Amino acid sequence: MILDTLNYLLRFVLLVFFQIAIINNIDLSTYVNPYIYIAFILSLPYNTKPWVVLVLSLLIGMTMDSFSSLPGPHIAATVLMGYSRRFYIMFSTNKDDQNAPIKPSVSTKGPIGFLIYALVLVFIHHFMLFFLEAFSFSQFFSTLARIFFSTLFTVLLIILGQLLFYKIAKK
Amino acid sequence: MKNLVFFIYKYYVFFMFLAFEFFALIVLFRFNNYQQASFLNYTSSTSSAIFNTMNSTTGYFNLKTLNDSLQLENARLRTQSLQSFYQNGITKTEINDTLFKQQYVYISAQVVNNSISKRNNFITIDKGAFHGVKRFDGVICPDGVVGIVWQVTPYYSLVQSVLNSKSSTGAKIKKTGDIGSITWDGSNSLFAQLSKVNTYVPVAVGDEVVSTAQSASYPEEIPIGKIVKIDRNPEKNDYDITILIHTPFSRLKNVYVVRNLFKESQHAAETKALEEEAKQ
Repeated sequence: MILDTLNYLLRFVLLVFFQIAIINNIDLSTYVNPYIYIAFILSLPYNTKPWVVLVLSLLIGMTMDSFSSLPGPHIAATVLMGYSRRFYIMFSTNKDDQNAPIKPSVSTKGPIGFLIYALVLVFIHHFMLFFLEAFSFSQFFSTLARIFFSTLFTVLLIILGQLLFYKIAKK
Repeated sequence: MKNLVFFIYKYYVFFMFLAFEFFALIVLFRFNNYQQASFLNYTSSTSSAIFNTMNSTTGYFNLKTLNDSLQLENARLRTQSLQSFYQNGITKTEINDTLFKQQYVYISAQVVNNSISKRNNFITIDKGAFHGVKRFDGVICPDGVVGIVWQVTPYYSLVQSVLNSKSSTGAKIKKTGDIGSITWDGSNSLFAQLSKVNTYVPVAVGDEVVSTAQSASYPEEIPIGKIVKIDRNPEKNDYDITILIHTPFSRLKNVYVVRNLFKESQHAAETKALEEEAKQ
């Protein structure tokens, strides 16, 4: 249990650091803004208490917001994603799995299962985030394009990262 | 009452979610409201320090290009200095010059944090109120305009980049002197849009666009960009012009904050004129 908590603490710090120090400095295009830090919320075990998920979402959102010049969007988006996660899990898995300490990943959910899980939740997060950042509906379709491409890149990076660390863990 | 407590207890996750979202929106609206205290004031001490540390580690990588650009600028300034002009007269008289009064003060600063791919981009620089930076001062770099100081803390400032949906920079076409306004549509960080240029103005692709002192934030004729595309706006009687920005936002490092010492008196004159107009 303690080992698990430490593991998640380390993951929290590493993901936030990776996001701020590296991902935020890759300026591919104005349409591609991946936010991989939400992999932290995605990877929480199924049986994590809902309020713990919400508090952790708030914490990681606040951390990200304190490094951005427009505070608020990250908190709102991550909390929304953390809340929706519960319903997706209820909808997609059986009762036994929901109460087991299974960590959602490519190896536990299978490639397709995890891909859909990540796509849905990352899309919810990015939808909230990008619209709050733009703070208007005036360029609706350009914001929608941003959300679409960024979601694809975020999911791609999260899955790549998992494959990488999964291989290392196996060795 | 008991039922209410039970109801809240049963759906406590939902109420927690609502409370957190409410909190996020309050924070967001507070910051978007310009009059309120800035969020940066609360977080700048830690996050700016972290950005500073990251910057000092990565700063070495582009030291050479930076030096080159500074050297070029030095050369240009030396050419303009008095010593580089040949004295044509024989006698030299010294006069106490009251014709010239200093209008602009430049404060050199380093970019600590920068983004170019968001819809609203901001730049953090390492000079603040302590160094004499004030809100709405212009920020320029050797190649062109960068943005306007948006928030000031004692040791850091947040600059609203030209690459921001809320930014609107007064500009003019260098050749003709006609005034327009630079905005950014958010699709590409290399190009910006120049609007409000009337159709009778003879613009051409390749014309230089420079800043104008009318906005009181920038000095006259700081380069902004070059016209690459001209479209006629069918609804209004003006052009939609696309310009290629000269400022290399992606590798911005050394910038100058421009403090216009006459800004207050310019604003005072303008507001006075507006007030008198309102009275009539």
